[in-house]
Amino acid sequence: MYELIAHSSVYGKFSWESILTLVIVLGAGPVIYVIARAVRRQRDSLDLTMAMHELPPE
Amino acid sequence: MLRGKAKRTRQRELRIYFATDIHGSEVCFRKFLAAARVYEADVIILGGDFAGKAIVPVLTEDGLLRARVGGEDVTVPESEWGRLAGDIGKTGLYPVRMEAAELDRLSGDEAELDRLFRREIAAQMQRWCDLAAERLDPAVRCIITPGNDDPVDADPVLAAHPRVECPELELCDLGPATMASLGVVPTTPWNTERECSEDELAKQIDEMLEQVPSGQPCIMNLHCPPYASGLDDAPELDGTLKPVIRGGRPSIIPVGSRAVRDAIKRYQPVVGLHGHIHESRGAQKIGRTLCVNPGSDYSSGVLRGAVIDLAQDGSCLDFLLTTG
Repeated sequence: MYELIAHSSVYGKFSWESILTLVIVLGAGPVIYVIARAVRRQRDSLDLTMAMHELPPE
Repeated sequence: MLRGKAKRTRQRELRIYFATDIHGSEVCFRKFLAAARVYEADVIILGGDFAGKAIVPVLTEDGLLRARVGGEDVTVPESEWGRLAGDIGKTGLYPVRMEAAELDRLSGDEAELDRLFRREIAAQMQRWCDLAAERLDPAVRCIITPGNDDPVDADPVLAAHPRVECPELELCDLGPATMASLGVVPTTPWNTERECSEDELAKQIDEMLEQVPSGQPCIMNLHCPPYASGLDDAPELDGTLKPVIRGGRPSIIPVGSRAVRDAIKRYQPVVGLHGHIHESRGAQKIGRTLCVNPGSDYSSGVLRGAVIDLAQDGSCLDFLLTTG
């Protein structure tokens, strides 16, 4: 990260557009996950968390 | 998009929990019973190879018990029989108390040893059926069908117990679908209890499936997976039952049944429930049929299974491979 900021001649300069792009790209992951999870819960009858649910032997 | 909309409008009518190949593991059977509550299943099915692999002699001498457990010699006071038996039983082995003279006699009498082994398997199945009656919700159906490793001695126990159903070689009405069950597999190198030729297997499957009413959705609970389905990959063995090495690696080949594959292609059941090949866990589609092999990791006390939801019209809504 330091290299990225300190050597703008190599990695390019930061601008408001580039920072906004970074925020959108990094923030999109959790948003897509939450939406996909909600869609799957609504559409399918099985909850994916059951896949690794430990069964009690007693 | 249309498919998604159609799915939403169909309601779950039946939830099946399927596990297989627990090979005498007490822990796995108890987890199997608990699965009904945890996964909210309407029917739990144990699809074969419930019998353990061997007897462990526990020698009684001067108030002590001696046994070889997990490659180590263990000596405990007689008062700890329960704990020792529990430890041995967890891995699917049968602890049997005996004196040194009896062990010597059994070592030279294969027929008597075989009878003792079969008695232990039948006795365990009786205990398991009683446990099912004690622990399961009365609304949950418990179906246990044999596999190729299970001796016929356990069949009368399953047939006689009021809490457990054993529809081997029979059709079983599950509500939205009819289930056909068969534990016989094509000939194996291990010469196990329930084996036959591919032709004979095809005949037995056909005779059973011809009784399914036309248009009725069907589930095939066939212990052997279909040939070359990705659910039947196992190490290739040579004449001495050692793995064949090719290119520095064990050679993996399909060892499933062509008769099962042909039957699935011809009858196109909704779901195929399979086991037999522990290391080939997975799910595959053959035509419209969802074929499932949950695999097995019984020696670690881990129960692998599959949850399958059926709609009112018998179609498969959803499925999930589980590890519990």
